[in-house]
Amino acid sequence: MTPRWREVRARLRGMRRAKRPSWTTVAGNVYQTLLYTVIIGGVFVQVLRSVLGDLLVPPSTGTQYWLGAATALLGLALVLRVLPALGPVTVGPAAASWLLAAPIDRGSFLAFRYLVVVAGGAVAGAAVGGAALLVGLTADLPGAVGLVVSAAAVGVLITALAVWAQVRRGRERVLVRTAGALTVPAVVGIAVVVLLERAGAAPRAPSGGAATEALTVVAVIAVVVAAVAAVLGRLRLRGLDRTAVTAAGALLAALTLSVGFMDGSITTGVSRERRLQAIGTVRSARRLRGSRRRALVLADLRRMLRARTALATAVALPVLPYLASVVVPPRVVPIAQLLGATLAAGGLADGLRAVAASRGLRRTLGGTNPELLALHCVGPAVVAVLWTLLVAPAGGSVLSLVLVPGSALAVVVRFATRPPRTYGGSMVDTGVGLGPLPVGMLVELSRGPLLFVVLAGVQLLAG
Amino acid sequence: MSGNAPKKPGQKPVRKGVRKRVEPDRVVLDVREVSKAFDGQAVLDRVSVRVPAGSAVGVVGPNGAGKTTLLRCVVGIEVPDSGAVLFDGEKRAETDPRFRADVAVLVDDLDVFGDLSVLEHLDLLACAHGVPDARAVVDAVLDDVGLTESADHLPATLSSGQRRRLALASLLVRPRRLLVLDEPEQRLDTAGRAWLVERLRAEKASGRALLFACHDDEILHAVADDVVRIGE
Repeated sequence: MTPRWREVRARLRGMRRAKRPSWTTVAGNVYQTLLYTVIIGGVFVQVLRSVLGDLLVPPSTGTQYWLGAATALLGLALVLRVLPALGPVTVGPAAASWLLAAPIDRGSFLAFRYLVVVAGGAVAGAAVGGAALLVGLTADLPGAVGLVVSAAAVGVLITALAVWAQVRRGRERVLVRTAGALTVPAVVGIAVVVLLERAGAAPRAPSGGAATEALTVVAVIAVVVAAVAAVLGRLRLRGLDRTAVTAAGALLAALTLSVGFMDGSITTGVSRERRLQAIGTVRSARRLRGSRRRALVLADLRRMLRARTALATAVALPVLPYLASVVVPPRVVPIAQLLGATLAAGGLADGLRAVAASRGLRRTLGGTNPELLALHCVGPAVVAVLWTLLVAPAGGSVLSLVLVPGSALAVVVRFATRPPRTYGGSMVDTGVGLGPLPVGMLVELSRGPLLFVVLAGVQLLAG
Repeated sequence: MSGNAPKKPGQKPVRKGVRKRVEPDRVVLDVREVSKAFDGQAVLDRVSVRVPAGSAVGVVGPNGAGKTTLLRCVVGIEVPDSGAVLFDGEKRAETDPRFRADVAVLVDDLDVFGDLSVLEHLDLLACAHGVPDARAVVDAVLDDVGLTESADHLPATLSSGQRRRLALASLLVRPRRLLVLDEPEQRLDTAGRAWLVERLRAEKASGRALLFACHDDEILHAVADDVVRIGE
């Protein structure tokens, strides 16, 4: 007789109950986690508020409004992009091995996971709405409530869409392309608003009453649509096969490891592998010619042109310093330039990272280590220089034209040549609830960011 | 350490120690009494190997005996606690460009640029090593290892066996005087192993030196002139 999921669940719960820790232990853990989250989060928010409070020069209300709208669009595009990569409905290896092989109703089995995912989508959406609220999309309370509710509903809708995409392979491309399509108007919108503000022709915000009314109507419609979509998504769960619900397992495991070991490279490595597997086949470019050095540089440039997301990010990032030029004092703009240049060049420094990380690759390519590293710096350096020229009108002195690309390249190299993380050696207790941490690991963690902070200070002094 | 060739039917027992069958003009690789320990546990104890030009030395032993450690010491990934590794009669660092130009290594897993296709990767290696007619060499090697149809694939999409073939192809598109291979037969199918034997024999015939760890007796019989046994 085929067991029902409810019976299987009851049996599993019964077995787990025996191994479950006492409620006092659980309560203690929850209390400790909440306490440290509140302490660390509070310190972070206080620092952010004091820094931003000193720095921020709010632009006109109209500019704030449209920046808020663009932020909301950008955030939703991000949710749309991330959710399919994370499943969204996922089961672990044990459940995949035992429960998915059993003839139980898959819809019921996955229902609770789906509920969690939908709740996560709502929270992510609400967070995007909150971010837009902070930027200045609306000021009055009914409008703010309408905005957050709308955003949460859109988060639920996107989650249901992601489940729809998960049922059949290939559909996730629709969501990814939609995310890309939403990103373009959001970035262009920010650019236009910033340019208008700089030109002294700031756009106007819709009148308060009209905006609030519109948001209220949108919220009602969004909640209804989201509810229908959530129910339809629940009905689709039966169609999810084993591959669909386990595909994101490696990425989620990498995410967990990254958090536990404070090493983001674990996640980026898995994510990169998935991206390359998704690309699969390429049209091999014309054969390389010329000297060894020319061949290595050309191959690196070829790789950079193949990294479409990093290229698109580099193209979109100039918005950052121009945006900074209307919300922070001019002396701070070069730091935004440095940040953008570092992100743009760093995103396209896969070749440098590969050569720096792999002794085997260096040995195979021949030559000396400094030569190989230098040749793979050429591409990121060109990007940093071109990028700096593009954002030069946003602010900064003539000296910045040299300092920004030079500093950005230095930070990129510093990150790329970071040695493998070590978890041994002397330990130190940071006193913030993270327990004893290896000193070596803290030094390694600070290797890139510390240089960035120092060079940002230099930028600040140089103006 | 003791050195023995694998026994073939009707073959006389070989004497211990490193034995030269091919009388070479010179010894390309000379490993002298290398010792290595990890956490106080000796893995290699005064191991000596001499690999003349045009000959092959196989390294055999059970799992964990130290075969890979020996090869890693040879190519400079590990530093021996004592003893010396001489290439052309002198010590060379792994970072020495002359060493990198002369020694082709397959010890760790495949190291490639993940975003270059199979063809582009081999093309880059050939150009980086200044191979005069890179295009023809790459085409020939691709055909030789059976990867012509996968030429446009990114390495991440290759099967385990295909990745092994790519790793071997990476060695063959570049100039080399010494090949250091750790279980090159791994993940190759029967046809692939037969090809490997022919290829390694061709390498010897063209005057190159080979040092390889291997678990396949047939390949050892067919290729190795001498055998170094470790951990037995």
